[in-house]
Amino acid sequence: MPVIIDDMGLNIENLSGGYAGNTVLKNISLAVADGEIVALIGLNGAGKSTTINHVIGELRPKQGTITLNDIQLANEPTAFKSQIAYIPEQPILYEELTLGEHLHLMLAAHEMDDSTSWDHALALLKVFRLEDKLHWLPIHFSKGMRQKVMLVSAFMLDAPLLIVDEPFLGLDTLAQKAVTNLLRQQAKAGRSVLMTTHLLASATQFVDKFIVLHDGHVYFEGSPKALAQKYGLPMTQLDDFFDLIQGAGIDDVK
Amino acid sequence: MTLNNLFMQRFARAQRTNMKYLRLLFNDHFVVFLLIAFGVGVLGYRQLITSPILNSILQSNCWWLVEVLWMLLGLQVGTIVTYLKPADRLYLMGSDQIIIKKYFNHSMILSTIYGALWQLAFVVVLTPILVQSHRFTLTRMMLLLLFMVSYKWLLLLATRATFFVNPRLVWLESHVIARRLLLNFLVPAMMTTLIRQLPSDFIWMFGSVWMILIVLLGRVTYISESRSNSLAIDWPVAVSQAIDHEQRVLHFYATFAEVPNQPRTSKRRHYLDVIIKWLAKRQPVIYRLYLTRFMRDTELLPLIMRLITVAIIILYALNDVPTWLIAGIASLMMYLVIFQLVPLYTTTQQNIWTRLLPIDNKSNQKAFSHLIKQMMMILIVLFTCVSAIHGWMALIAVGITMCVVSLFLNRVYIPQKIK
Repeated sequence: MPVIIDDMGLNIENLSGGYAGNTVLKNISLAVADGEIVALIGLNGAGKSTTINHVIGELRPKQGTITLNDIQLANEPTAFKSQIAYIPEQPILYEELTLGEHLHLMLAAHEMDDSTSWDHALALLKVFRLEDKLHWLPIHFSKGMRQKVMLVSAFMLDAPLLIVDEPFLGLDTLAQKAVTNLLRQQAKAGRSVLMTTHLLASATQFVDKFIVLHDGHVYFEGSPKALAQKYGLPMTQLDDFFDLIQGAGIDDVK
Repeated sequence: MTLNNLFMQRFARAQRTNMKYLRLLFNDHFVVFLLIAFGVGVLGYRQLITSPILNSILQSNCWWLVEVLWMLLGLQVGTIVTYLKPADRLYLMGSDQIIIKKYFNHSMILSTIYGALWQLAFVVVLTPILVQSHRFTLTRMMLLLLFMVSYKWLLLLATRATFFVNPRLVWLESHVIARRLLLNFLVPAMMTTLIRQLPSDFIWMFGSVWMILIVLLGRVTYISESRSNSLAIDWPVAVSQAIDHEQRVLHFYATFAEVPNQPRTSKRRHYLDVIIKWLAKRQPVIYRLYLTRFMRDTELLPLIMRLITVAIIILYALNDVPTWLIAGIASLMMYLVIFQLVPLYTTTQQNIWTRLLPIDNKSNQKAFSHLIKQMMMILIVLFTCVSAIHGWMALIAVGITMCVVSLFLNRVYIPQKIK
């Protein structure tokens, strides 16, 4: 009987890349299966944002492939991008478009029916307390509100892969809880999530898999429990992981 | 680095930046614009001062109003140049005294020189008319120049006073509009009228009194060592004035060359929503994005409107010139307008939102080309209609030439710029 390789979800194989003249990622391979929440963790400069920038097509790999549900980014960038929703660490908006126009633009670009998807968008706006600000221009938004616009724009797409760079940055506690719930729902519906975070202890509550990046290499891949066991830390004190690897060096700890 | 020469270091850096942009300008579209504007300006001015009807206009009662308005316009040009940066609020927070005493002193000297040069230019431009009106002798002219330069200095001092939390002299502090109206318009308007109407015998007296007044005001506003101790800088006001000034300079350069990292601001302009809706109907979503950004940009739309207005005035003023010149200028102005629109594409593409939208490059470019095509059609219709006042030949020549140039722009220039 032939072996069936499940290519669904995100697959990164032998990826090397980075910025001009600076190879940040060195031959990394990782996968995010459907319905899985995966968090990339590591110190500053480890390669988390570079990995995400490769996945969203902002950087061109020097080597390796990035595939999402059998569609390779290098071969079909538009089809690939139509499957992803991205929430950057710093909110980026068009200063000329109102909140409502941002959402309509995103829906139209993803060829989603505005009339059927709009209710979903409105529900999300309500969750993030933005429902009465549809006609506001970004200039009137606080940083947290801008971040919420990014969250609504991404979550309303129900994209097969959601990429979130530091999901809780600049959010109030209510919004943080809402994001956690929405990430869980996303996974429950069979869609994948790739995120970065520095808040390991709180991430253990909803993350299925941690991938530790260090100096452009994948050093660990496994569940939060496995990470805690491997480095001898209680689950509630996983935030000390960074102190541990900073103090002794990741190889020594390992 | 010492704070004593911080201003001069920043001044030197600003000059290097200016030189960089000036090299860009004078190698690029600015020369074209300058040649057209200068040529038309000189031509129009020469026609005006040699026109037989000018004498009757000069004698009319309302002519003085034109002269006064010109002088008032001159006084509005030039502001205090401080080169302050947002981070100064933090890094120079404890150095108010030295900034007030040394930094602002250098800033005032430089700003006064710039201001004086502007006033000189405005007076020089008006000189042929003033001389022709037989009212202005050399002494009166010198008095006018003295007044303009010294009054500009006073205006700069008034601006400097707003940089302090507790200034000694800020008249009508809570009535900004009234103060501006009084200082920037009413007082100088009265004084320039007085200089114009003053009998010759009183010119010296007026000049002497004015000089004494200026010296006294200079004494009152002088910031001594001990006074600088009692003053505190209103950093948000001072920094925001410096940023505004820097942006105005950069916007000037941006009119003719690409200036990187220009912050863009926007305004909703509800009244244009109807046009956006109408034009974007049955168009791809990315076209709507370009159109909306264009309609709501606080720099680009006014800039395009200004360029079109200038073009219409130039085309209207081109009397007694060959038809090919009218057609050439109309085409060049269309090129300048289209050139200004190109950054709309690049800045939209630079936004990560655009890059993440699942829309391929070809559709992106096609939508932008469509917008450019529409703009060119509007320009062809407008410029052709204006040229019609110079006769049928001008109308036909402008229409045909602009169509050919628009074809070139749409098929060669724009695809090259946005690939």
